[in-house]
Amino acid sequence: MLGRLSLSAIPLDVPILVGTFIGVLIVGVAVLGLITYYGKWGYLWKEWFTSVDHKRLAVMYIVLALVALARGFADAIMMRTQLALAYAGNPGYLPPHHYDQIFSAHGTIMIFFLAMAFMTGLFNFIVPLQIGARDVAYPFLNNLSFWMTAVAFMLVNVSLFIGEFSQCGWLAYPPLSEMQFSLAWVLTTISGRSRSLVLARC
Amino acid sequence: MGVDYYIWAIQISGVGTLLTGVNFFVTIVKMRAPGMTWLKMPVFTWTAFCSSILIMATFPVLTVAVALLGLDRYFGMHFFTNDGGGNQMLYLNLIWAWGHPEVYILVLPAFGVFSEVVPAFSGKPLFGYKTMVYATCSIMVLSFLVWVHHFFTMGAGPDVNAFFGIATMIISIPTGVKLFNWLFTMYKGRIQYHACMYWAVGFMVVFTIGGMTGVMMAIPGSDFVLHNSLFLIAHFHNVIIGGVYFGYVCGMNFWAPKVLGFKMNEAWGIRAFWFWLVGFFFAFMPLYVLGFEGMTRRINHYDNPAWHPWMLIAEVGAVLILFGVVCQLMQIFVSIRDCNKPENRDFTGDPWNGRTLEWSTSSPPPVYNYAIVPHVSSLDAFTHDKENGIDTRQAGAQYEAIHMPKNTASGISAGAFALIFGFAAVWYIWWLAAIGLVGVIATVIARSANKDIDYYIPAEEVARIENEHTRKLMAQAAE
Repeated sequence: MLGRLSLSAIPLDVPILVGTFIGVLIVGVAVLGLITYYGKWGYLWKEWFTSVDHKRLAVMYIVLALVALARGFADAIMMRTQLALAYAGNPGYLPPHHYDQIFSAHGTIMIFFLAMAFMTGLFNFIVPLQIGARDVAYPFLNNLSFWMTAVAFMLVNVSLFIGEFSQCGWLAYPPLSEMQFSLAWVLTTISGRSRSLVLARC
Repeated sequence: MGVDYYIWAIQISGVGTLLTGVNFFVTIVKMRAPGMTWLKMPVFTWTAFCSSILIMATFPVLTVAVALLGLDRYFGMHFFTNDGGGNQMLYLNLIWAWGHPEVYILVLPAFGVFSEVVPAFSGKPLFGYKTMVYATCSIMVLSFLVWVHHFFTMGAGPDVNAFFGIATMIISIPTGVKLFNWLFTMYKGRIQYHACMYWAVGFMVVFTIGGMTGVMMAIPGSDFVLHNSLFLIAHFHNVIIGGVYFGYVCGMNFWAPKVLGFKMNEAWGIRAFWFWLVGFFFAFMPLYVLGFEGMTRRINHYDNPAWHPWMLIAEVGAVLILFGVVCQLMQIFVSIRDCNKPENRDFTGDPWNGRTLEWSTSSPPPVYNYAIVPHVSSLDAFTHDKENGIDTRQAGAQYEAIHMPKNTASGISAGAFALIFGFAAVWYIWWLAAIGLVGVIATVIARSANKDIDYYIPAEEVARIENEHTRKLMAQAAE
C-alpha cells in the first residue's frame, strides 16, 4: 500500500534532524497561525498564489530563493564546522552518512533553488518592464514554472524528515548513484535501520 | 532512496526552468516596444535573452541524463553501469553538456545587472555597449564548447584535452572585455557609492580572482593535480559567490524600489556586503592552499595536521558570512518596517536617474505596466526622452482599454499534483504516483480548454490610475 515507505523512514535516531524538525514545525505553525490570525489566506490566494502578474511572481521567486539560501547556508556552515572539528581521531559531530547528504543537498539547493530561482525572479522583475511589454508572452506558464520550482524545493526538504537525501554529490555521478549502491537502505529498513551495517549507502 | 528524491526534484524543477526559458525567449523576441531593435535593447535584457537560449538548449540534456539514470534505477537498465555494457562517462558527458552552460546561464544575467547598475551610479552611459552584446553572445556560444574540462582526467587524450583547455581559456577574453567595459564606464564618471555599487565593485575584484584560478585549471596538466581537490571548490565558489550571488543581490537592491515602491535600507546592505566580502576571503582562500596541499573535496574527517589551521580559518569565514546573511535579513526587515517613510518611498518611479524604460513608469508599476506602450528611438531610451523633453508615459493621452490575463489556480494545482507524484515515485507508492501524474495532465488539459482566461481593464480605470500618478509626479516636481 505505501510502497517502501514505513515508520522507520523517519529518522528519529538522528538528534540533529529531530531538532530541525521541531524548529521547522514551530516556525511553520507560527507563520501559518499568523496568516490565519490576520485573515490573509484569501489575499494570498487571490493576489499572489494564483497571480500571473510577472511582478508578483518575481517577488515570490525571490522569497523562495531566500528560503533556499537559509537552508543551503545552514548546510554549508555545518560542513565547515564538521571539518574544523573532525581532525586527528576526532570523528566530529556528523557521521559520513549524514555529512554526505549535507554536501549533496548544499550543492543541489544552492544551484537549483537559490541561484536559478533568484535569476528567474530578476528576469520576471525587469525584462517585461525593460522592453516596454505589459507582461510575459505566456503568463500562465510563468505561474506554472514558479510552482514547479517551489514544489521541487519542497520535495528536497521532505527528504530531511522522511527517508534521506542523495549522498552522491550535487550531480549524482554513477556508479555511486546507481541502484547497486542504494541497496543498503533497503537492508537497513528491513533490519530495523541498524546503523552499524557497513555498506555504501546511497 | 536519496537519489530518487534528487531525481524527481531535478525533473520537476526542470519543467519549470525550461518553460521559463521558452517564455522569456518568446517575450524578448515578440514583445519589445516598437522601435526597440536588437541593438537598442538594454544589456540586462540581452543577457536574459542569451540565458533563455542556453536554458532551452541545455535543460533538455539534463532532463535526459537524469531520466536515463532513473531508468537505470527504476527499471534495472544499465546506461551508466559498466557491467551490462553501460558507460558512466556517458553520464558525465551528458551532465556537463548541461552543467557548463548552466554556470553561464547563471552568470550572464549577473553581468547584465552590473551593466545596468554601473552606468546608473557612474552617471554615464555604458562604455562599449556593442562589445558588451558581442561578448555576451560569444560567451553563450563558447559555453557549449568547454564541458570536457570538468573531467580532463577521463583520459580522452592530449588532443581532445588541448581543444577543451584552449576553448576554456578563450572564454576569458570576452569576459575580460566586459570587465574593462565596466571599469571604463566608471572612469571619469561621477560615481555614487550606493550599496549597489559596493556589490558591483566587490564583484569585479572577487570574480577576477576566480576567473584567473579557472584559467589555471583550464590547463589539463595542472588540472590533473587540482581535479576534485579543494582548489576546485575554492574556484567555483569564487565565481559563483563573487559573480552570481553578488550580482543578484546587487540587482535586488537596484530594482527593489521599482517593484516594491520603496528603497531598501542602505546601511544594512553595506554591512551585509562587507561581511560577505571579508567572510568570502576567509572561507575560500584557505581552500586554495588546502587544494595544493592535496586535500580532496567531500571528505568527512582527516589526520593531516597541516590542514587543520586552514580549516579553522575557513570556519571563521563561514561565521562571517553567517553575519552577512543575518545583515541581509535585517536589511529586508528594516526596509519593510520603514517602507512608508517619505525618504524611502519612490514617488517618481525613477529613484536613481535610470537610463532604461522600466524607470519611466510608476513604482510599483500598475498591473499593466504601461498605459501607453512607449516608443523607442535610441539606446537608453528613457535617458534619451529625459534629455529631449519627451514624456515617455505620454500622460493625458487618449487611454484605451487594456487586455490582460486573468489569474488562475491551474499552476498551483499542477504543482501540488507534481509534488504528490514526486513523493510517491520516490517511495514506490504507485497508485498515488498515478493519481499525481493524472492530476498534472488533467490540470493542463482543463486549463487548455478554458476560454475564460482574459479580461479588459476599462479605459476610465486606466485614466484614473494614470492621472493619480501624474498628480503625484507634479506634486513631487513642485517641491
